[in-house]
Amino acid sequence: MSKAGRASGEPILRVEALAKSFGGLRAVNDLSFEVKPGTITSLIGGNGAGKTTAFNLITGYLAPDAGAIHFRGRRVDGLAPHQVARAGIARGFQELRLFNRLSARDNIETAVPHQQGEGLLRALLGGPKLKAERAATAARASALLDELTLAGQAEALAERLSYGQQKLVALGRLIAAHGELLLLDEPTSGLSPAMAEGFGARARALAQAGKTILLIEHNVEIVMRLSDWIVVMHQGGKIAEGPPSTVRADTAVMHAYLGLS
Amino acid sequence: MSVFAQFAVNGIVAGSVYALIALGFALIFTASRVFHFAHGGVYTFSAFAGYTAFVTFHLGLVAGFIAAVVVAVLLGVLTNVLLYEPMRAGGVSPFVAMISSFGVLIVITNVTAMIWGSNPVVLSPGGQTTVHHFGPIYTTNSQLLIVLLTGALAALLWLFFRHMRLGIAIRALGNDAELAEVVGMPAQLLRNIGFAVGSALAGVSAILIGLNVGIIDSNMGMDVILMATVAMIIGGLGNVGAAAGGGFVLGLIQNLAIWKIESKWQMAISFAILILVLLFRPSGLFGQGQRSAGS
Amino acid sequence: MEYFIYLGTLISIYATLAISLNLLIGFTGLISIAQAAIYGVGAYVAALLALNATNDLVLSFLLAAAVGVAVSLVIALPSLRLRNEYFLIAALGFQSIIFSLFMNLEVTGGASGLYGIPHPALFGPTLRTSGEKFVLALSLAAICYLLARRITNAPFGRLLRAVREDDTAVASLGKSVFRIKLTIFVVSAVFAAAAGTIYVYSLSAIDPVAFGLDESVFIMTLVIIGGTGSLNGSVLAAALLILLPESFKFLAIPEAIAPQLRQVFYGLLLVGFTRFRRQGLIGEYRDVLQ
Repeated sequence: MSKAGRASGEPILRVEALAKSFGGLRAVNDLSFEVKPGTITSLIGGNGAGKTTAFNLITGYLAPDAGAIHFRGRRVDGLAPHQVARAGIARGFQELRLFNRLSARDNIETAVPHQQGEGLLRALLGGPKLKAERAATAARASALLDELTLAGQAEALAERLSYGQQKLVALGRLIAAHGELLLLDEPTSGLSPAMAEGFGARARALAQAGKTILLIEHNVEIVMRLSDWIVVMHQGGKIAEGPPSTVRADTAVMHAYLGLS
Repeated sequence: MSVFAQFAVNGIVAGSVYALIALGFALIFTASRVFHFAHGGVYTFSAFAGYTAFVTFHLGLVAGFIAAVVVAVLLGVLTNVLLYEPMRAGGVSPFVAMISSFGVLIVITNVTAMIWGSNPVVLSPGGQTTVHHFGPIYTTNSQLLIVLLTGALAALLWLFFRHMRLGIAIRALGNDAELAEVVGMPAQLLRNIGFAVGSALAGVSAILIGLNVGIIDSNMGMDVILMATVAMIIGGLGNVGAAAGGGFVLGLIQNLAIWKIESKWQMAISFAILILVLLFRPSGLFGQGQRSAGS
Repeated sequence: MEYFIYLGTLISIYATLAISLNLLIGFTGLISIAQAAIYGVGAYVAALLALNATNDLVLSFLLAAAVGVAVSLVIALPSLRLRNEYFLIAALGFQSIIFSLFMNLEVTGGASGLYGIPHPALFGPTLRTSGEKFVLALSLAAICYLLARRITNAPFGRLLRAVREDDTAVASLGKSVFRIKLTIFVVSAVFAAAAGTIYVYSLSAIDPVAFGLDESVFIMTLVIIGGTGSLNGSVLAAALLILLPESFKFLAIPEAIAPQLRQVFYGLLLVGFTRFRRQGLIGEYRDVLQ
């Protein structure tokens, strides 16, 4: 993100009149919002509000029926998921989707981008270049594992880790993937209050370091404490947005949360 | 024109043959969600069981049918009880069960060949029975019987799955086995019933078709089960009627292919249609799209 | 001695085939039942080349591999979007179509196949003896093993396993799953077609029956029994499954049923391992197949 971009307040992500239906069901309906770089934005709303569908649309897993998605000024709707990821959007999943029978280290090393060793040619040729690259990748993974307090579990299979550790690995993958915009889907669900705190701290640190975070979250406390901006969805559309103080006072939001449609 | 009509009639007969087998195969798939390729082995072995009763021991045709059905039901249910159910209980996916089913098919086919030899064996010593003429079109007793029987069975099974409690229960089981168990259905029993009825169908069709063709051989099941798979996919995986429909379509296509192109290509053409359906209409020609092949 | 050379050649060819399929099934999670078709394509191309143009080994390998890869891509490109059972059924369809082509085309000699294929020439001198051909087969197996080892130990191998675990997640990390799957299909096809070339030059003839569905199932059996994801397992399984039925010879089993008994043996192994030991002999994970 260029300094000029950040200073001018250009949104890093702009969702414009996004719509998606499944059969007769309008999952996302004329959804528009912006995400400013270096901020933590939360997407909240009751079940079925369309949040995960919005994520799927942004990251290319679903094609929108209408609307556009701009990332760093460039249209990304219509791109395949791996292309969207390459452009700089790192997406996490509610169900984690870890590589279960790979170690924690392997999970993270797989996320590191631009590895020549992942191409057939370099894999066959081998040589000092490959060695150097592998050492560099391993070093990055080790550093990340240390930071995430997973150093002792580096070689453990992902499926053997505790849920909290698995969530850390999932986060580690996203960080290693070097995305500028991190999309997190319910990052604190299933975590103890202490671990949720820990997540909050990490998210803050990432934002300080220049990453942008967009998260789907049900934990109202975390949302209020962590977010710079909140977008409230209901039945596929946006019903409110603003900083936490504004949203907290908004009665429409209360209605949405109490499940009154 | 009459040549075309003859091919069309042949197509309907061949289609009935495929539909008959596809019915049993699809019934088992509906109940268990497993591609029970071993069904081809059940088909083969039961044909030879019938042969043993009918030809070897001269016990009459009825005994032949009974032998075939009994053996078929035993093989089918045993395969489920000894192989698929334990795998299911162990959390193994139906996909792995399908691979093991290939193994069972190979074992049964080769055991059949070991016992009765790999050469064809005559089932119907008199050859084709009474030939009927409808204008310029030929057909035989056994062919008529096959077509009529298939039609009747398809209708019966459709009724069964739509309107009879046991049938509805089996369908529900296939769609969501976990839920069905939660609701209190005796899942394993229902699946075994599915295997029993499906295998019985295989036994009946094995004898009927064997009589129609005149001979049986240890490889007949392998060819037949591949065609049944094609029929089921072409027709649609959701229901048994669709599979029968797929069988008819397949029979017609094959015979039209024979008419226009050499008969040696009918297999290749059938599989090409299979692939085209998988790619472009995964829910099948008659399917409702509930369980489709695409991701 | 001839007998052991013959067995050794057979084991080498099947080890190569098992490795080629293991790369697809065990490492990447692509359960293909069309490997015999690719093997056959390689064999027929080498045979036709030798009968009509040249018996130069290098050219045979190159052309066989090229056509094998092309056919493999024809199979892969449409089938990759299908999941699990349906991918396998599509592969089954392609295997059957290609087998039908082997059996029915004039140029492939139809059901009688091809025969009278000349000996191969490697950089000049012709390899005539079965001993020389065994060394050839063994060398190919060794080369394929080493290349497969190299690939799977590299980051590429880790990426393959990641695709096997969760290809959606791989895409979310910016890596093209399609490219990865196509690449491994190509590698697998090169190995299988090369094995076909060796087969042809070892037997000097082709019987199309050798490339049918039974053969595909046999190769899959090798992979499963050895252990999906284990290259050593594939080699071990090839050795065991070729050698063990040979011991039947010492059990006074009538010639007429020997081939069927062998098939029963393979079928029982397949059923037994998928039922009781899905990780195979040396594999690590029980459930790679799903």
